[in-house]
Amino acid sequence: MKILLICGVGASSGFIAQAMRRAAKSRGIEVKILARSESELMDNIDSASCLLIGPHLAYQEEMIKNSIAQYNVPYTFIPEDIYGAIDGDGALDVALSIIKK
Amino acid sequence: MKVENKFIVWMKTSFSPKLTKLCQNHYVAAVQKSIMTVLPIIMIGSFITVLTLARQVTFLAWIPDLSLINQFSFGLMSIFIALLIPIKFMEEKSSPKFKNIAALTSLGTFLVLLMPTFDGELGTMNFMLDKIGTGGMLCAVFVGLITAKIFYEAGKHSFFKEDTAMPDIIVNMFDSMLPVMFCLLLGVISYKVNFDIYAILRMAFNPLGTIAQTIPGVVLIAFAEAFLYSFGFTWILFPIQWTIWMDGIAANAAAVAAGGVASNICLMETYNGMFNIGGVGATLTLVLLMCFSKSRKLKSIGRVSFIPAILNINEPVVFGAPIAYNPILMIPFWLNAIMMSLVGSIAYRIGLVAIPSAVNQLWYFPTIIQGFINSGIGGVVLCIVLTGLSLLIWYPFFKVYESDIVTQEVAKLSK
Repeated sequence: MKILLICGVGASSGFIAQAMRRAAKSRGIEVKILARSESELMDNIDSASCLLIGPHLAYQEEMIKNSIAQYNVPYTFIPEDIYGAIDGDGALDVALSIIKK
Repeated sequence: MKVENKFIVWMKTSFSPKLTKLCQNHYVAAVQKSIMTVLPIIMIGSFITVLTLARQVTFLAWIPDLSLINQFSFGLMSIFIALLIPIKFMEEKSSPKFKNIAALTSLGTFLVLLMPTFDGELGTMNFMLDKIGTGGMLCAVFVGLITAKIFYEAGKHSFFKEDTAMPDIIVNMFDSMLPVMFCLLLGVISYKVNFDIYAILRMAFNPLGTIAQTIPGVVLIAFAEAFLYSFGFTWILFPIQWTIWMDGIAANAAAVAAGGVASNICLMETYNGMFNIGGVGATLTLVLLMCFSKSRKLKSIGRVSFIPAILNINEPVVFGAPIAYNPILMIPFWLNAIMMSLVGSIAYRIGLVAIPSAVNQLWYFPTIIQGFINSGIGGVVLCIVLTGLSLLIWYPFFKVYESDIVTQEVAKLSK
């Protein structure tokens, strides 16, 4: 399982990714979590199980949706309160909930 | 409804959708993504700046002079951009058919338009350094976008019917040859008749660059950046800012190398390396206030955003506090952007603090360290002064917001 996170330059999402890795480890879930800049989205989307996007990129939704359409990867925006609190557990729940669908 | 609420609703329902549409424009997106892709290689130049500084210390003088690395990273910026734009554009359009050949054609056409001179005897082709570096960026963007568009349109048509007897390789070759020929021909014709697109674009951009380098220009850009950010738009201004910044620092470096003084103050080194203490809107001191807040919510968000804030990353606090779409914290956020850039610019302009003159894009270094790298002790002092000022600006607004949140928390508990 690979979860891809994107934000502006991959800096703030890096902190979330770190928190998610900790959360996954404590739950015993085997998962690879990557944080990347949105300009690297297309280079990393290929094998991703799901895509989480920083709330500050909400204005790009249409574009992101179109460019990843062919890959059939489920995506969602990380809710602002989870992002703001760097809540790894919460973000992991969000990711798992869209993967199952 | 209060005026401030009306304003927020208007921003949400009218302004934001329009801006959103603009950002989804494929041309805008291609430029933005190309620049983002170039960032890591440009950042190498910043390490060279640090090394060069270290070499001035006697016991570190053994470090070799590696500044040539700058020439082959930062100094080739326009070439990188010319190559990347068609690739990013095609990816945006989900039409990768000709993306590589479009990139190569864009590069070829761009180089012709720089009007190189040939020396038959030496067997050399000569380019102005500035044109392949920061100076040629507008031309690179222009050529990249046009080439991308031409190839995108060409990709929709074919000379052959789908059931043609011709092998695919021949079909593809012919189909891509026409747009290659077309682009290069345009370039070569411009070259032959001496139609200097590079010079025209520079001239058109010149007024904007000049205004941006004045104190009001610097302040206006800082405000616009914070304003857009507070409504959730983070990277919109970046391509324009970046072009101005790169031009500015290249000119400063050239001026100092020629024995003159640096004069441009609209730089990445002044914004991300000085004004934006803790991120846009100088949020480091807000995070500090939050760390010691009476509100449980604010305190916990303050604590998790502290390390990001030291590294000038403030998305967590902007969305966590939140500042975005929150009138009470938006105002000091804008005010800080204005005051930091205003006081900072004045300090640079009147010569209290040395204007940065070497590339340093290490924006994730604490600003006080960046201040030292860019401007020596003066930079450190300015950073301390600005940090204090930002604390004064945040404090009253934070107190009002905090008491609101504490009231809410108490109400929740007593339920």
